[in-house]
Amino acid sequence: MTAMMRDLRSQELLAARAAPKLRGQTVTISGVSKRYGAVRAVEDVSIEVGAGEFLSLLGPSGSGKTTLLMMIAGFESANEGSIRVGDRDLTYVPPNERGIGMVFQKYALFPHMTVAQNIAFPLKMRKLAKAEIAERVRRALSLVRLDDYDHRMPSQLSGGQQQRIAVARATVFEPPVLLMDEPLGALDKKLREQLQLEIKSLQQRLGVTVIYVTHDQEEALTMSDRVAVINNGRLEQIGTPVDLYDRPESIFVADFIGKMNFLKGEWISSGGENGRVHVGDLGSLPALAPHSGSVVSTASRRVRAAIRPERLQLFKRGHGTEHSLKGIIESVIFVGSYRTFLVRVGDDLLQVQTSAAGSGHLDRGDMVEMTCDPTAVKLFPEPPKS
Amino acid sequence: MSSSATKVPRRTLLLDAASAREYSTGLSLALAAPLIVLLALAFIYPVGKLVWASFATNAGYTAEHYLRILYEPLYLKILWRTISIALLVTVASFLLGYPVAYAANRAKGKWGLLMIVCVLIPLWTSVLVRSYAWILLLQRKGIINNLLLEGGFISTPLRMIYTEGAVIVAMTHVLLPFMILPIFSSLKSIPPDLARAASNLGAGPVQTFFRVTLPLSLPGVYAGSLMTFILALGFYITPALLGGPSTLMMATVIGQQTTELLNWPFASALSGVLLGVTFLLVVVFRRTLSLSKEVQLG
Repeated sequence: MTAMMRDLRSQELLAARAAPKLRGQTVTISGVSKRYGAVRAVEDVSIEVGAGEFLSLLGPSGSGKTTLLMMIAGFESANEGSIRVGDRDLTYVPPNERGIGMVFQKYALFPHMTVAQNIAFPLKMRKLAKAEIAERVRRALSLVRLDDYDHRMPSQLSGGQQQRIAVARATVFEPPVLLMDEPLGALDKKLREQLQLEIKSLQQRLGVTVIYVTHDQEEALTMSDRVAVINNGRLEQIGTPVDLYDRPESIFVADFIGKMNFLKGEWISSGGENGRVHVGDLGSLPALAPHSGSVVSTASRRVRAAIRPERLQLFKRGHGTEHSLKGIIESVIFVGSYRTFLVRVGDDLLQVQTSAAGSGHLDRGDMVEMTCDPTAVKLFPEPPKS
Repeated sequence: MSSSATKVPRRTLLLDAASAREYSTGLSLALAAPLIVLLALAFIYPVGKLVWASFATNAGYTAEHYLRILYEPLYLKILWRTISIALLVTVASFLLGYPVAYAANRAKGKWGLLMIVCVLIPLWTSVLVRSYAWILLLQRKGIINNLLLEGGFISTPLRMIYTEGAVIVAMTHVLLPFMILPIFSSLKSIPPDLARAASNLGAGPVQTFFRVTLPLSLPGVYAGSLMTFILALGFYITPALLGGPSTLMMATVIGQQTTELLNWPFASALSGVLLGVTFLLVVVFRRTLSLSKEVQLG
């Protein structure tokens, strides 16, 4: 080795040390199904995760999101379909040869090993030299800001610290993909919010692809580039947080993401795109024909209208516009920067969220009218009665 | 957790956590009182009396029985044999029992339960019955010899009964549940995510076992070994039935002294030695155990 080459090499090392970069890789889930006897846990799910993307699998408990994660990790095998990382087909590769990092719900730190031994474990398995292991462990610890904790036992750490060590252990061997199974579920709200930011910034610094399982839609929206909503083992919708919030494609997604009001009504077209949703004799709201068109025709049809609480405007009775809904304020909840009104409309209780400043004159028992921009109303076909 | 709290030894912290549900000393004593009384009357008193009898004569005190144990090579030899048989039985129980406990823990649903029931059933059967069963199997014209003779594998019956091997095999059989159950319960308490984590981090099944599962199940192994070893040291029926004169163990000799030779003071001295040795070995065992724990904790 010439002096110049050695120089180059050490420069490379220095650069690598300054900015430890993992190269994230794509994850391609195609047509994956998993059955337990007659139970279909995951049904024909296909997701393409981009390199370095932060993707959340969001769904209620029992929706199959964790099963899907377990299949990516290799702890469960798919009955159908394939899973690829980069251009490597992992469908039949045992978990220990997949080289994918994972953070478990309860951290799964080895209780009989010190923090340093825990982090060194994947490096030992990869038969790295002792000095290299020590150096990487030191770096991983400083990355999660627990530099002096190397000799502690996991039981001597708080939940948040254990979680950080689990992240350090899962990334120290520089995997292209990091799986996280509700890693913040056991922590209190404040710590959870702090760690959400930490995980996000760590992910961006490392450039690793993250697949993050959670049932907390707020967490999913805050952290993710894209969110895949899973329900009953199926992929309901996948998109950016804004997509899911503003353009839900099903009643389930509309209901699951954020707060949503639902009204039963009738779609009445007034020609072209424009029309209104008629809610019995309580009035109507302006709406646009659903662009996915097929479900609701221009003729009068029974629909389920979905409106976000912050998109409704509230007036004293008589001050409304042509298309408005009549109701009575049942209660007012003051939440600091805004107020939430619970408005009784027939059998339904609607939430209306307004800025605290503009709604001071409205109070409990007031007769009110509500209206909204036509774009704020999402129409879904009335689901068949069960 | 602040850095000052983490300096407190782990044991103290565990105690603190438990203290919220601790009973007062008085209540604890009251709850334990019936057993304490029973132990005092039916165990501590007779054992004390036994040890007393080994020293006392009509004319005063004597150490002659202990000196006899020390100077007649027979008795030290028997003591040594007792300890080594107990050790061999413990090792054999561990080697046979660990895989059973491991399999029962890994088995799905009711199969694991079924395995544990199979381990428990022999416990409900008398040791006497189980030892006689071994006699039927191992004796000169027993089941095994008959099968081997009829199969043409041997021409003269093998001598199996009244050997040290027979004693070890039968004792291992009888004591196996005492090894399996604690190991099973400590394996059961290991979160399954730990093995998954090891595998995810690159450990194959063998490495996962030796680096994670086995170390974490050691408390069960220690408990099972200690129980098996202590029980084996004082085993009476099985060695008496299956062992010959050349495989005498301490309990058998003590039995002979009391029932056949009616030498109660000497039997007492032998019992005292067995008791002392057992106690000593338990202390040594626990000491090494706590040492190894500290090494583990770093």
